[in-house]
Amino acid sequence: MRLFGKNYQVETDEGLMQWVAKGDAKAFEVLYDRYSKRMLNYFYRMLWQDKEKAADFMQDLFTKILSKPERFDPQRSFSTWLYSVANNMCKNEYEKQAVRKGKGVVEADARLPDNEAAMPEKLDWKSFREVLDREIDKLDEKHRTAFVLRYREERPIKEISVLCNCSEGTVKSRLFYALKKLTPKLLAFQNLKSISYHE
Amino acid sequence: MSNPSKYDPEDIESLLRHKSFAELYEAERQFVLRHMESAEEYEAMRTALLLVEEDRKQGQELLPDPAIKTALLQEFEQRGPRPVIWLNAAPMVDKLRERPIQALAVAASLALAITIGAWWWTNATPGDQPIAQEKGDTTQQMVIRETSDPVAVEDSTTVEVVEEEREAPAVVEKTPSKDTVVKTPVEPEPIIAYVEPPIESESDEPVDEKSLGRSFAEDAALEDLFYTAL
Repeated sequence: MRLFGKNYQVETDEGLMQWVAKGDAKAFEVLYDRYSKRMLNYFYRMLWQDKEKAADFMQDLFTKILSKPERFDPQRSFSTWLYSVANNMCKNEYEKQAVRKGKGVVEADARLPDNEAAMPEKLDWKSFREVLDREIDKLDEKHRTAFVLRYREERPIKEISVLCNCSEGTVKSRLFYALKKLTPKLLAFQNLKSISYHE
Repeated sequence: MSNPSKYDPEDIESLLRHKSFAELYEAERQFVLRHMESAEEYEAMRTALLLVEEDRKQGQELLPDPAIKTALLQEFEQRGPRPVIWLNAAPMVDKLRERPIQALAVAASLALAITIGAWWWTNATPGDQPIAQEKGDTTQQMVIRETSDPVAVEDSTTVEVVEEEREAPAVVEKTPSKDTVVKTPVEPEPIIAYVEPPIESESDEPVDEKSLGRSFAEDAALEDLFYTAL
């Protein structure tokens, strides 16, 4: 127990944000350590596996936090708020790309050939992730957001419904549709996986 | 034995995670087959879901560049300590603390209400005071008085506009000579009396009954009536 000073490590995210709002750099640093890796990978998956773009967006996200921390409502969950800000940044980027290219997300399609014959003979998680990421990029924005938040970021259905501004039933429906669409693309890995199970 | 009450038909995800098609209850199978074409499709989706979750557990993720953290902390330090909003001191307005616009709006409303209240308090007048006293500040009143100077009988009525004070109403009377002004206190009588004075001829020519329009007796009676009324 500390008699003097604050124990930042045991403080909740919401409590830390209140300290950040008062200019506490250490509180900001603890928050960054908790969420930077998670948000970097979230942006990476949502923004066409572009590492530089993901890093830029992650930095922008935390810059928003430190520049206007009062925008956070302490009555809300910090992680939900953080994901909602990140999600809005992704939406804006989708719109920007759509305007630039005249259509939605296609960047990853050109980078990775859709060639199932090139699948490895044994389960290679790196290859699996490349294919999965590519197929996730092909989903439309709503299904991609739900899928990434649920199966990559492990966010609860209820939180996703808040982030996407829709009902929990709609989120479940989107998840089901997204998985149904991805499954045929992962068939080769399914066979390998089933072999590895039995081995 | 199946227990349908524990089964949430919307949640296919939990079925995919926890049960193979062979392990599904009959009601669950029927429900699943309403959304999928076959048991093979169910198994394919189940394996895909497990693969996706297994991939996440492999944990090959990107790590943020330490330079980003350094830059952010430098930016944070450059901004310096933030001024604490004065409403932070009040524990009952925790929600307002994070909403400075609302906090300022509340503060402005309170200041406005206090200002209006103070103005009303200082300018309020009790409603049961007589109107005559309310006029005491500065009102104009027409007063007709007869001077005691017998010479001025014919010109004894003067109409003056005077300013009546609240405590000591006074009448400013002008004598016929109009050189001296006499100020005499009078009782606060709100009654304004006005009586038509006798007709006077402004010409120096002699007046007869014909030019007067009435007899001298009638004129004298009218004059008596006039002074009696005064």
